[in-house]
Amino acid sequence: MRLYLVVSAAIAIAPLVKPLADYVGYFYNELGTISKKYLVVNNNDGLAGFPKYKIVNIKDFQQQVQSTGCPVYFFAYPLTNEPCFLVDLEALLGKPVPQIENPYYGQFAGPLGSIKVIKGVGPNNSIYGFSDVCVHLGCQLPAQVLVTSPNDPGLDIEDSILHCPCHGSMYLLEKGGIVVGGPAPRPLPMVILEYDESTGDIYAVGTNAPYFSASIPRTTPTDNLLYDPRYDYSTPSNPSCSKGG
Amino acid sequence: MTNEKQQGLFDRFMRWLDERLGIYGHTLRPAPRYAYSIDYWLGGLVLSAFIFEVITGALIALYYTPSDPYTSTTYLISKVPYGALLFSLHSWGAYVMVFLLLVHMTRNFVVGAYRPPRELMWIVGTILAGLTLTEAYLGYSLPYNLISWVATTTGLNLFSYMPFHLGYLISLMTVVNPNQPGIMSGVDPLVQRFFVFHWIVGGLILLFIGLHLYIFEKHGITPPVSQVKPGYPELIDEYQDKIRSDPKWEIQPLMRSIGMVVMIMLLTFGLIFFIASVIPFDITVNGGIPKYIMPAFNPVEAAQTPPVPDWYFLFIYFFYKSVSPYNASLIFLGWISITILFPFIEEYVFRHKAPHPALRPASIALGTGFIVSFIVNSVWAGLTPGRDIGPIGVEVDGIIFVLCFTIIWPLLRFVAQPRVLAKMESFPLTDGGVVIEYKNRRLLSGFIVLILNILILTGLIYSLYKVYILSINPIINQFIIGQFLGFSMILFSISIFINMVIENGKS
Repeated sequence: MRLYLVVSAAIAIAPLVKPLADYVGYFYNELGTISKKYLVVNNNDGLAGFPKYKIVNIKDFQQQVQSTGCPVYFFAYPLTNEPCFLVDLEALLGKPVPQIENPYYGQFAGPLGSIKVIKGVGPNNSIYGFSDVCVHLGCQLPAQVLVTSPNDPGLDIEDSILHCPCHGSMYLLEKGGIVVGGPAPRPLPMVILEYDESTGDIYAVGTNAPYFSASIPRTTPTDNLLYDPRYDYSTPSNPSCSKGG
Repeated sequence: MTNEKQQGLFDRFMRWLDERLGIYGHTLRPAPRYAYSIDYWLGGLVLSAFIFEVITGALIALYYTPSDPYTSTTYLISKVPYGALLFSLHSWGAYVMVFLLLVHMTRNFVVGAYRPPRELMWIVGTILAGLTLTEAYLGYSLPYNLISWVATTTGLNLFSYMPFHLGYLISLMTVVNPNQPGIMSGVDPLVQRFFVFHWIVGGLILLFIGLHLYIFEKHGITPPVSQVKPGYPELIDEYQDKIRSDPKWEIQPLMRSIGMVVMIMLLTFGLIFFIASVIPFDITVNGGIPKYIMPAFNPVEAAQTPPVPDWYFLFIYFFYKSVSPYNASLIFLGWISITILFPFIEEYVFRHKAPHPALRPASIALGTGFIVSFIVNSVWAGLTPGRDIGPIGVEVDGIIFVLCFTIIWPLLRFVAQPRVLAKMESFPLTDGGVVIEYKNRRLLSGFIVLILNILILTGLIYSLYKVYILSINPIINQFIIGQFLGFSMILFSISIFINMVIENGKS
C-alpha cells in the first residue's frame, strides 16, 4: 500500500519535470533558432555549411608583421563570439613551414574531413589559422602573448608551443596544434584558409574540427555554426602582441 | 535526569517546557559528562559558522546588485559603513565554515561515527558538504572579479565531460540570454542566476541541517570509541548501566549543553571577526578608505590570467590539470561516490565490528588515503597555477593510497589491534551495579575564577567602550571595531566556559 503511494506520488510529480526544464532552460532550447544571426558574414547556406569569410589582405598582414613584429592576426570565425587567429609560422620561427599534416584527417565526414595535408597560404605558404579557444575547458588562449619558454602561458617564439593559462595544455602549432603537454583531449582545431593570389585576400572556408563548446556537444564541423552563449569571447584587436614573462 | 538538587532555575523551566512541548528525548538531548570536550562539538562549530554566514550574507545582499555586480561590490566596500568589514566577514566566514566542515568530517571518520545505525546521518552530512561547496562556488563568482569569474565559468565547462548527461542538466540551468533585459552591458546575466542559486542552496543547506540534527537527536552522541567492544551497540541509550554507575557517563543538566552551544557560537563568531578584521579579505585600506584589490572581469585580460579556484577546489583543479578531462570527471565522481557510500563500504566490504580506529584498519587506511591525497593535491595544484602537471599527479595519488594500505593497515591490524582488544577485555562493560566514586576535580581554584571573571568583565567593558567610541567614524575604524568585537566575543565565550560549562572551575 505504501509503495503504491510512493509510486503514484512519483507519477503525479513526473509531468512537472519537463515544464520546469522548459522554464529554466528556456534560452538553451532557443539556441538552434537564434544561431544564424551570429554568423560573421552573409551566410547563404544557413547551418548546412561554413560561410566563406574574408579575413584580411596579405599586404595588411605583412605590413603588421614588419612594422610591429607581431606574427599573429585575430579574427572571429564562424561566429562573432568565436575568436581565431592567423599565425605566420615562418615569421615566428624563422624557418619555412610549407605544409602541416591534418591531425584530424579522416575523423569527420565531408570534404573538410578528407583533407590530408593543410597547406600554408600567402606568398611563402607560411600562414595558418587556429581557433583561439582551448578545447580542454574552453579558456581563451593568449596567442598574442609572445613568450620565450613553453612553460609560460602564451605563444612560445622558439617552438611555436601555445600554452593555455588555465590548466597548462600545450599545443604545438607547427605540427597542426597537436597536444604536447597538459590535459587537452585533442589537437587545437585549425581554420581552413583559402588564398586568392590575384588580390592577396585570405579567406576562411571552414575548420578541420569542432571548437570547444560547453553547452552544445559539437561533434561535426557543421556543429560549429551553433551559437554558444556560455562564453562571449571577445576578439583582441590587431595588432595586439605583448611580451610575456 | 539528574537528581533534583542539581537542577537550577533553567532546568526547572526546561522541564516545564518539556511537559508541554516534549522537548527531551527527541528535540534536545542532555549529554553525558565525557562529551564535554571540543571534539564532540565540532558540528556545532560548523553550524555556528553557517548561522554567521546567513546573517552576514543577508546584510551584504542588501547592497548587492546582480545586474552590475562588480560596481556594487566596490561600492559596498568603499562607501558603505561597515561594508568592507561585512564583506571580509562573509568571505572569511565561508573559508572558516569549509575548513571546520573538513575537520568535523575527518573527526567523524576517525571515530567511526558513520557506523550503523548512523549511515544516513553520514550521507546527509556528505550532501551537506556538497551543498556547502556548491554554495562556496556560487558565492566565489558573485563579486565578478577577473579571477573569480573566469574560474567559475571554466568550472562550469568541466561538466561538459561528465557522464549521465550531467552537462545537459547544468546547461539547462546555466545557459542564459546574453542580452537579457535589465543587465548592464559587459555583465554576464548568469551572475544574476548565480545570486538566486546562492540563496536557494543556502535554503537547502538549512533543510539538510535540520534533517542532520534530527537524526543526531534521535541517536544521541556516540559512546567513547575505547568503550565499545566488537559487536556491541553504538548507541548511548544501550548503555543504561554505564550511565547510572559511571560518573564519566553521567547525564549532565541541559544548562551545561546550552552553555556549551552559546560558548561555541560566540567563539566561532569571535574568531571569524578577529581573522576578518586583522586580515581584510582582498581589501586594502588606503588613507582610511577601504578598497577592493581584485580587478574587474574583462574578457581580454581574462585570457592571460590563470583562473585559480579557491583552496577547497584545488584538489579537483589538480585532477583536471593532470589527466584528460573525461578521466578527471570519472575520478571526481568516483571520489564523491566513495565518500557517500563509505559507511556501506565499511559495513559490507571491510566488515569491521567496532568503531575504534585500531579495529577498523581497512577503513582507516582508505580514508587516510583520501585525506593525504586531498592535502597533497591541494598544495601541489596551488604551487603550479596554470602549469601542466601531467599523469604523474594521479600516479602519486595512487601511490599514496597503496602506501596507506601497506603501512597503516598492517600497523593497525597487527600492532594496535591486539593491544586495544586486550585493554577492552580487561575492563567489564557493566560493573554489577557498583557505583564508582567520582571525585569532583577542580580545574581552577575559586580565587582564580574570581580573578578571571574580573579580568574578562574589564576586557568586555573596555572593548565595548572602544567600539562605541570608534563607531563615530565607521568607514575608517571598521576593521578596528571588528577586532574589538571579535575580542569581546571571545572573552564572553571564555566567561561562559568558566561559569557555565565547567561550573566555576569544576570539571
